Amino acid sequence: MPPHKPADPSSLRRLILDLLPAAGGAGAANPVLFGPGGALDSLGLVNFLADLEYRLAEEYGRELVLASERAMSRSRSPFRDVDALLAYVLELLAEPAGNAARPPTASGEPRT
Amino acid sequence: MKKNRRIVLITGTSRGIGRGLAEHFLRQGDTVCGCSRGPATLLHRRYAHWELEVGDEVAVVAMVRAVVRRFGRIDALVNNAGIAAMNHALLTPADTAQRIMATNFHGTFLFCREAAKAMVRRKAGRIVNFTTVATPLRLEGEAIYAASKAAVESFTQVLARELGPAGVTVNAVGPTPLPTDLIKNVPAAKMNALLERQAIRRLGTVEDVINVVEFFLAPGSGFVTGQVLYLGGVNG
Repeated sequence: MPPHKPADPSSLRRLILDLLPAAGGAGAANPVLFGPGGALDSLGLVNFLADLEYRLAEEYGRELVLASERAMSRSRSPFRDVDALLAYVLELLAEPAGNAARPPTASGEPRT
Repeated sequence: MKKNRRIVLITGTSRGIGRGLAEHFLRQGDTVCGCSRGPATLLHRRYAHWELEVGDEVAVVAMVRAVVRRFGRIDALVNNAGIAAMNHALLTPADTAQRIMATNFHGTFLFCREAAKAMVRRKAGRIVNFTTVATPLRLEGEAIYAASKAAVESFTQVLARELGPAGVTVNAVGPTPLPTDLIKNVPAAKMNALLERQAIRRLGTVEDVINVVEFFLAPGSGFVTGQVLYLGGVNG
């Protein structure tokens, strides 16, 4: 996994758009992800968020769980459209990776 | 699913059924990623060990993603880790109940959630959770343990429906008591009374459990999901 690096909004936006299905309204200014008129059904959203978590780890070296309590408790869902998701992910990436400072065996490196 | 060279993630591999399962899959030529609260007790070139609490979300996320990064996929998840505390419900400390739920249910949920994310990306995967005959038998003295496994059963059945369209099966095996550390403090009379309620009145073996797990993982079992299979002739 790459070391933690800051996220550039435009490249992060491209990363999100690249994960949308071809007919997912990627040409729109702010494609709707989920809900009325959204590009994704519920299973599509599950796949999309799983892909995004893995891509964020590859690109930015951060192990994020996007469907967190924080995301679910917001009055405006961060999974509604691309702008909302982009803002939410940038917010998460801007935070210190406090949970990364864990014992070696819990950090993703196996002890054999 | 290809039978050989599977990537199998098993929780609770330090001893008992989990260790037996790990050794079995290694003998089949598979790669096993295991975990327990302590260091590895199993040394093998195709075995990788993580030291963690299965109810610790950050540790589980880190392990599952590390497995996917290292091996490219997870073919099967076997949620074996579990703890029990035999006691009358009225004499059970709240902390004990919380600890049992954290390991047995919350741990199962976390590993399912994270492994399934990797599985749905490939539209393939098998998950086997662990329950117990104590749940359908409504065993006195095991209220919290049985309740935690009832939660696992219900979770298994709903998750099977949620993941069915993604090509991932989710089932559960319910062993009878085995001669493991989990039952070492159970009085003989109580154990005999329990065995009397089984259709086949003997303790289970690790091989009995392996047989069911391999059935759920077999290539021909792609249409088997949401099932809870009890050993010993116990019915739900």
